[in-house]
Amino acid sequence: MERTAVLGRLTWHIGAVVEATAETPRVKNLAINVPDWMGHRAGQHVDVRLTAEDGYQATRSYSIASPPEDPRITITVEELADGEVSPYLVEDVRAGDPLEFRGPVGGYFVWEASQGGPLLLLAGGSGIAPLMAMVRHRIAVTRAIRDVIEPTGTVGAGSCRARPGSMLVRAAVAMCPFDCSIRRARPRTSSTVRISNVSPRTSLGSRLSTPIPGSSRLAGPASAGASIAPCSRKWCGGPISIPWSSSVGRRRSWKRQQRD
Amino acid sequence: MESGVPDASDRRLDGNAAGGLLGEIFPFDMTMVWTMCSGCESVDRVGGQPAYMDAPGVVVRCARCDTVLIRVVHGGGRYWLDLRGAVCLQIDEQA
Repeated sequence: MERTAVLGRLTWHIGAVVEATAETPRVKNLAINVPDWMGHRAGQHVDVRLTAEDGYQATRSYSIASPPEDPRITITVEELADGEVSPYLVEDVRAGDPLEFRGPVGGYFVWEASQGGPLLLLAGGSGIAPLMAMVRHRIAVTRAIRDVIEPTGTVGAGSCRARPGSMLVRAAVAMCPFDCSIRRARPRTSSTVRISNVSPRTSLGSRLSTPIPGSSRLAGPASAGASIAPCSRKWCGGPISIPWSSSVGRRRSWKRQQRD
Repeated sequence: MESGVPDASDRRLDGNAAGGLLGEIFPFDMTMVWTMCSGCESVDRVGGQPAYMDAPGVVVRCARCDTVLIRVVHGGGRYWLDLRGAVCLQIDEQA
């Protein structure tokens, strides 16, 4: 591994938010333009740092939802009611605002199109973000999407929806608190599993009679991961990302960073 | 979380969240590094272990037995790194 190249990734940069779009009332996509962005791989994340007037700093990790083919990076932030950072990112940040961050970080959860499939993607809430990067990366590389994850139940707050008319109808899988069941797609025509109704309190493993071939990526809040993780390790062995944290702290006033 | 204190399951993230801080110390991607747990000798990558970012410092625990594998505290111009919980680290040249 090139040491200098890795060290360069971990410098704090200030990028510009070019677009802030709401997915749901509590979830926002922030598209960030970063001068000299060195690129990323689907599944990686960035650390975002906010600084208050008194110098207090808070750092949070957000998966990059945009594919490597997109020149600007997009993060998907779900506002937590008692959050310290997320309310600022969801409610206060506007297009044109600077944002301090570093990255991309982490190779553990990465999926690249060269790895091939089948690939099972399961997500809860804003855990969809890194999986969206993978799906969008696959679309960009193959120009075709045969692998669709489609919840038939109601999708809860915190999910990402593709725009109407796009190839991917639904990418969000709500594991809690909705009921979904798993119905296996025909193995010859589709390489992912269609999720319809799963009880969040029931082990997914008990719903599947045979393991699903190929690798998997599973992302979501810890409460969902607790029931999903053992099953995933058992029948797919793929990496699991539990990116959701609940941070207790009073709502703060964050100062806007000066642009480089 | 009625009292405002989060329980452990809400605070738990994965080792990827510690990747940025560990990357300030190690000149390679620590999330890809294999650790052997001193408690149960299980082996996994740091990215696959539970991590707690809001403890005093950052704590990475064994996914199987909850033994503390890695503890990092950063402040006052210094990093304290406690690796007692990891018997050894395996760092692949090609990640």
